[in-house]
Amino acid sequence: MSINERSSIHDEVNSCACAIHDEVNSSQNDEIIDTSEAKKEKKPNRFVAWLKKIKPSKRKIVQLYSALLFNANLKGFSTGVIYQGNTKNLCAPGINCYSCPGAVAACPLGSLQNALTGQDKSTAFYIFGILLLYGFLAGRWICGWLCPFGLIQELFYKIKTPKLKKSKFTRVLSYLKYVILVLFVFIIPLLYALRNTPVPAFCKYICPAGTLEGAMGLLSNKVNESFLRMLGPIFTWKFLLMVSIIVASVFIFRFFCRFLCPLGLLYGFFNKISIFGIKLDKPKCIDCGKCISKCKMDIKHVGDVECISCGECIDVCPTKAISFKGGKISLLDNEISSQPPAVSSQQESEIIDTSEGKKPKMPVARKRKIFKSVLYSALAALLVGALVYFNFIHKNPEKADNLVGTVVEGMDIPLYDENGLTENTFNVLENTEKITVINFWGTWCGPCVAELPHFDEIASKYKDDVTVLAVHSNRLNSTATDFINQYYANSNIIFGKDFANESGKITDPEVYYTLLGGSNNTYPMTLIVDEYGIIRAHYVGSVTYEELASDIENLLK
Amino acid sequence: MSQEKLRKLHLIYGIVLSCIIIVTGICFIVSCVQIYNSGMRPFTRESIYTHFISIVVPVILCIVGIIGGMVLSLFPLEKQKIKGIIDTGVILNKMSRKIDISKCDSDTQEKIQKERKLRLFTNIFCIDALVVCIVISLIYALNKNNFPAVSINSEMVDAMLFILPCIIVGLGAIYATVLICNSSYSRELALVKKSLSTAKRESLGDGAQDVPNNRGNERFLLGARLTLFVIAVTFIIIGIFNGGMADVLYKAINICTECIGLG
Repeated sequence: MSINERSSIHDEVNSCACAIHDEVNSSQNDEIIDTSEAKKEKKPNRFVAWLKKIKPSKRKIVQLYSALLFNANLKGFSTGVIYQGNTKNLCAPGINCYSCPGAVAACPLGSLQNALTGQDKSTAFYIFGILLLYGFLAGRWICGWLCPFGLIQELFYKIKTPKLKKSKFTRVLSYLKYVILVLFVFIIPLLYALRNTPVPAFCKYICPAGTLEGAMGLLSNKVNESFLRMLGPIFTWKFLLMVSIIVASVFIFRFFCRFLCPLGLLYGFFNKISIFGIKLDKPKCIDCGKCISKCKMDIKHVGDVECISCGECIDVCPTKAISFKGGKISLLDNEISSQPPAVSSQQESEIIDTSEGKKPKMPVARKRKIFKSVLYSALAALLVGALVYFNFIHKNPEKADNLVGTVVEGMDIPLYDENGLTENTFNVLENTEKITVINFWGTWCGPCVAELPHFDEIASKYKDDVTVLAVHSNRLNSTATDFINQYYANSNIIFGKDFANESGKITDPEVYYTLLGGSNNTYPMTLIVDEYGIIRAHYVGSVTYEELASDIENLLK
Repeated sequence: MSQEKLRKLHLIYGIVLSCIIIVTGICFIVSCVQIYNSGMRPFTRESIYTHFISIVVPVILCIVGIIGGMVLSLFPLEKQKIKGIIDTGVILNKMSRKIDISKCDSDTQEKIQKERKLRLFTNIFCIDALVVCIVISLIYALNKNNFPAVSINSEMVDAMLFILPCIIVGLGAIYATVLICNSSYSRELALVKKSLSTAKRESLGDGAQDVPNNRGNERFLLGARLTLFVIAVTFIIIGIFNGGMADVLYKAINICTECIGLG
């Protein structure tokens, strides 16, 4: 079918649809035409028009606000150290890597995978509850208004290039995120969890937000020079993917959100019942398709799984059938359009109705104005408070200097046996007749678990010359005990526990990890201490068997 | 400057800038692969700089191009009229409700039936293809032995090599179905319209839409929201007490190097 034929069919269908739905108010349409004609008469100055055009929309301001609020630890970008405080108990609603130096909240998708891969089977409750709550409150409205990575993509899309518009092909491609959700977020992490190996597959192999905000954010700072040692195939792959996604975002609107993001898909399932979002007044709809045409996402109809509730369709709807849900709470109504919010007849009557005997009611517009002022002031205060607290009041533990060549700190590390933590301790300084390999690990940490067999092999092969001490990071003791009993019951590794208490205060400076030069809570970390108690090697990140064996052989010579 | 000239200028500028951006992206990718293949271990900031310094020209061009684009937007194009995208399937369904197909002539009826059969068979074929792809993928993905956690990266590569063709075939089947069904809808719509044009307007009825049961919907919505809210809050409270919240904190304040792609 030729384009002309198709367009003629569209026109005819359009007119036909209009005819079928007689209830469309023709006078309303006339009004729209009138106003547009009136607008045409007034031709504003080009510069003023340009200024108006580049003026950020309300949505952009909210996006910038939320991006700043969720990354309020701005000093992290200069110090290269991630925020390690208690607000990370909470999840940000959008994708925002928790290893980003600025992040002050956890990433919901990362936390979900962590919960699924974790050893405690019951812990997924919290994150499922959080996801349900966010979904119920806002659905994919979060993607359109709050997600920092969505904002990044939209800013790239603003670059003045020809754009690839949506088509049937992109609509089909949008099903890819279902595959990613099922495979990378659920099946693979759960399968590896059965092997007691935490593999957050989406974060590890796909998430571009993790690479851009987390990895690049940390690597760009000289303080984290030691991280460069770790770069390998995974980073290369993720960097390539990130560059590809960024380049694609210049030409395709929200490339990642539309085709790859599993979090958006999860939220999308709640779009119909969420409190915030977009709603369509079906009786008013004439199926003209202008909303679908205007929308840059792959929606089939307004408010479906793909809809991010940006509200751009509100302006183009000739019958004003589309509006924001929860408008009274969000104060948005149809305000995204340049027209002033319409006052309903009921509201009008409220304003006018000052009949005898009744106290005159405060006009709705005035109430609205007061409420708006209060809300905006509270939000501004929240942001300023967050910026002041995270940047000036909260202090992260200081990074220790490079300790290679210095005498190791001695500390009594409580040891595990098959029943859990015991009162027996191990002090490196009191056991210097052998070389000591100290490994800091955690059952939650994939690479830590993956490299433990190397340490086991080292402990067996050099059992006369080397002591391997694996210090478990601060997590539930039962988790570590079960893990050790299952996999390392007959191992030559000595398993101990780092010092911090169970309440989550793991950033105390007396933690052995921090005393031995650990910074940024980067796991795994390995130190090799010689027979004189002097630290000879310090590895941040995974270490191979060959590297360990070579260092030990050199010390034994 | 006339709108036509301006439109041309915007187009040419956009194409040039697109080329620069794509070239810059490719340069980044090539440099990254070169660094990885160079065999230098461990990486240092200086060695990475020496590789990336070679792409400084396209990067600068890219930045200049972006700034130029901002200047160009001082001369905006007139907005084009939005043309609605009509979902032919939806329109057809609505029209079918208004007209009685059996009143059409036998030739039209036959053609309409043919189109419907075509769509039915296409959909069945698509569902079959999808089921086969999903089953094959799941057989592989749910087999524990395919993920022995010995060399996770190569296990993932193997899994992708196996599952990716299934994904491509599945998406291809959906795409083919969408194309076939859409053209079928268009053909049927043309037939229906043809018979509509001969029929009197009255046969369409008064055009009133089926009014949905709003009260029932609202009640359902309220119930669903309340249920979700209660479940969410209960889960969160359980999570706080069973250590789920502490788990989120532990993961968030520690950097798992592999999890953010550092390796």
